[in-house]
Amino acid sequence: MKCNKLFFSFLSSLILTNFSFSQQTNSENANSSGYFSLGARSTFSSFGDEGSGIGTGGQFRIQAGEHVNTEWFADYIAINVNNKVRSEYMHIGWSVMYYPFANPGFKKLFQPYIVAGHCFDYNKMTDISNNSNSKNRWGSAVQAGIATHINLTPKFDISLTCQYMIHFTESLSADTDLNPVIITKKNESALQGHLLSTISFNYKIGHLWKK
Amino acid sequence: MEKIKQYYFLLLLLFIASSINSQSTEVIRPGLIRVMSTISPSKMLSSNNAYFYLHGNLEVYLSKKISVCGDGFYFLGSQTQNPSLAFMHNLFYGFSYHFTKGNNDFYLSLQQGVAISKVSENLTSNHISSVGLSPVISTIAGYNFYVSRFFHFFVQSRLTLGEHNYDVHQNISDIRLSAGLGFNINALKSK
Repeated sequence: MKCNKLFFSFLSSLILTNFSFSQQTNSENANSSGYFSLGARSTFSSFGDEGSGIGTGGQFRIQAGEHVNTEWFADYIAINVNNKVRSEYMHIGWSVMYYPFANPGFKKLFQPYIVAGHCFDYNKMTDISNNSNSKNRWGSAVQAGIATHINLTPKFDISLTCQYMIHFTESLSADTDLNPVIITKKNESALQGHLLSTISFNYKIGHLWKK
Repeated sequence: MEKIKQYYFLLLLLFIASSINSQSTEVIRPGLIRVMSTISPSKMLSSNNAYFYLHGNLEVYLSKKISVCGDGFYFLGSQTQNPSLAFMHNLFYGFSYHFTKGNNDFYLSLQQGVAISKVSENLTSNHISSVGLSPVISTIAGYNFYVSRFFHFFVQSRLTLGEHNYDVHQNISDIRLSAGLGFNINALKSK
């Protein structure tokens, strides 16, 4: 019973915050700085050495100014290599988003931006038919690309992002022609990468600070 | 027996009373919380296998057009012989965009999530299979009809895309159908 009350009071305060927030966003002089958004994402990984795969994750955003936003994300991507090897990636990182065109009050439907950032990543390759045949590595990566928000309402957007991610780290590779599959870790650093196409949805919870 | 009849009659009266009341009150508004549970059949896209699930949903309307939602699918069994999956449970989270008119609510949703699945042991060479976690993405088209402040009817179809890559590669993309009676409550008073 106490939990129910707590849940409803939390929910009510969240939604009431959004009401007061919506009045701010509707204002002509709305200031974008300090907005905090929360969202979830699906990522399609392609054009890598391993093939393509899908991933899931989430992110939050803290807007630094009218033209600059920051995104903090984490995701998990699984790639099927020739139906023989499972390559799993975990990313945790951040990006800076630059809006060339101002969009006060988030009223324009499309809001294009340039995005670039850095992340830490973990890759694990496993023979699908033999879980003990596996190798993993930790690393670092940078990513950059182009994107756009689709502002369905001033508070809610769908974002489409296309980024290329380059890993600065030792790399894993799998020879799937051999039986059993041989997974190797190359100790030298390699510029290995993949194209990440992301669709995410984001809801602006409120202002973290006022100017 | 008489008591049971009285109980159902009382429930029916409550249902009618709340339905009449709903005509003067706006049900679909910010703060609306919707929950439901139903049996959901599915059909795999890459094979003839068909499964069925216990489907549960929780949805909170942040505005009249936008809601955040979470869905869970608990694997109950197979509708076909020689299923390729021993089980597959799913968790989804995402948002819905609603097109509302009165108490009619047509919506489109995009959800991401995970599948917790295991292939049938007769598919593996050593007759042992392991549980795997796989990312999935899902799109939904659905319709709710709010008959009262507390009840609604719903129907939805869901397309899920994903792959299971543990022990044996399996395409776990499928289409699912859910329908039934759901419960709803407004957490906030109307303005």
